[in-house]
Amino acid sequence: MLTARNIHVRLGKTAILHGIDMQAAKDQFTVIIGPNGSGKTTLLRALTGEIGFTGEVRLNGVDIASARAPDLASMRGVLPQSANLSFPFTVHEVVRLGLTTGVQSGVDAGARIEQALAAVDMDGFGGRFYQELSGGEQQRVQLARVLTQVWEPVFDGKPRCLFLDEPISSLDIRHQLQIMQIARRYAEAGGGVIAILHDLNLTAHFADHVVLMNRGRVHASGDPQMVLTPSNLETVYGCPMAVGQVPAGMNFFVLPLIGPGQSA
Amino acid sequence: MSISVDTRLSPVVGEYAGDRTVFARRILLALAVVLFLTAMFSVASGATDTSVVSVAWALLSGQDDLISAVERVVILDIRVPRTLLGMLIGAALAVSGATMQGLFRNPLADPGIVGVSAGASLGAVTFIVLGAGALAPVATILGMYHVPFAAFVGGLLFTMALYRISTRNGRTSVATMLLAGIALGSMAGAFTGLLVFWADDEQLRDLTFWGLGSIAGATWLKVMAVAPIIIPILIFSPFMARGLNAMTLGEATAQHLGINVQVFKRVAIVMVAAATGACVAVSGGIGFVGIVVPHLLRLLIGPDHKFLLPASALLGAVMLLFADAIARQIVAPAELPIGIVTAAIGAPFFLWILLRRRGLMDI
Repeated sequence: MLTARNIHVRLGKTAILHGIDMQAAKDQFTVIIGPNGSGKTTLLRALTGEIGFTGEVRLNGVDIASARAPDLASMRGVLPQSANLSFPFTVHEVVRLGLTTGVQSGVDAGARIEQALAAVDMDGFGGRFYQELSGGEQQRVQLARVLTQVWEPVFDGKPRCLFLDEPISSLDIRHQLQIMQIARRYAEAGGGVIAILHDLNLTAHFADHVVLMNRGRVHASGDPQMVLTPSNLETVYGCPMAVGQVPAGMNFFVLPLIGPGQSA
Repeated sequence: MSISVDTRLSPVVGEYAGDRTVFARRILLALAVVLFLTAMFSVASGATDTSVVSVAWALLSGQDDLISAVERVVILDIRVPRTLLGMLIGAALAVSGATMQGLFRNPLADPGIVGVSAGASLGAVTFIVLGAGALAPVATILGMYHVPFAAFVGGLLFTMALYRISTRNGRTSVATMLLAGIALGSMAGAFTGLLVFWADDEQLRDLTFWGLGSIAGATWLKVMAVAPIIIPILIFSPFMARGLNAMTLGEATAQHLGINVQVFKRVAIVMVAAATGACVAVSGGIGFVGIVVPHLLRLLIGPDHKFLLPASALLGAVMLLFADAIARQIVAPAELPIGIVTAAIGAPFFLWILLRRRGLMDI
């Protein structure tokens, strides 16, 4: 579904990404992880065409550099890390921005907005002012907006893609799990999801495919079990890690090893 | 028993919480009625007493004998063009303000405050002073449009400069925008001052009255000079709504929502510059309409530009006619320049917005 080849990004004189090759398949939840400054957000911005890059990114075979904005908007939704609004929009109106362009089918706009709000556990908030919500609530409203834009994971025979930049960074644990489940279901229904996460445990549990970034390069990519190994994680994050399953057969976990009296 | 509601069969807008479309439509309708009544009042009021009803009836029915010959001249050659000019300028100023605020994602952006009007003035003054001399060939080619055109070019250059200076990586800094506006305004003021210094006595008199902001000298010629610029902009402006709404989430997100941001910005900037240029060319510096009107409407119907832009046009027209009525009445039989009235009302209003938003803004 998404193929990126030899992506280089420079900001001024500094090279941020050094020739990234990456693929994300439909039906898969792809998670990009890595320490601060490893180039995760820059990579996502290149993949969505938000910043200039050299190399090639194709989404469903379309070169994103030459695609028209409305065509791209009908194929993918992008959730930024945070979004401030300078005008007093209601939650309903913010989510409606997802319907700016693009083809929608089935139910009418208002019903779709309500569905999207319900999906992120924000039903009943339509009449509230966006600016008055908490950070976590705003993040969920923005996700509802993105979902409204590309509601059906497969449209016109083509998979659609969600790009999520730290979608759970300001959420409580229940809502983190809920958003992870939304992403999983979107992938299971035939769409694609590419998300940046910091939580290695949620990554281990929910991701189909993990891309581990380090210093502007892909350090490792593949199944969570293949990528999230103690040696990979220690190399990239610089602290000793244990990886295991507890209770046996249940959650796959990643734990930084901190001895008594020792700071990580 | 279960009740199922098929939403596809009841696509009535406004049934969802937070959806203000139905209310906004009603306000639009109400504003249209208010504008009609205000326009009638504006045509009917003045030094010569004429009743609203008889004027309206005479104009609408074509039965000229209902009003005297003097009334006819006063109404058709003085008050009607003045009212039309007031409506056009009020609408254009308010729509420019709303568009600029959407583009800059900030309720304090206004052509008058951030130097765009000053740039337009510089363009206009350049032609008023040099139009008969150095720039005579250009002025001849452009005919009656030469001052509006010069004001448009001045406004355009200043808007582009302002956007370039205050926007970085798709984010507009409020502080930079306001400060750059002050600098650009001063720069325009300096060059305008230089031109005024060169102007002869007759040009000076023209410039002084023009600079205060007035629609008192309205003629059909002025109406005809700006109507072909302002009316298409007003008609086109609702098509900018989707883009302006998307832009409130930032340029990157607007692009992801399907707006071609680069093209959109250019169109919006040209539109603001053309509307501001036209207004400045015929009426000088009428300030604050562009900031007060959209702000009041956002409080009333919300910031959705689909309704905000047409509502701004209507309320802008009403406000300018209202300000003109005050300008005509307050020191009757003399007249105040309307720019004094709009500034006297608008400047405190601007401060009020600033105080309310003090905690919210990043300045």
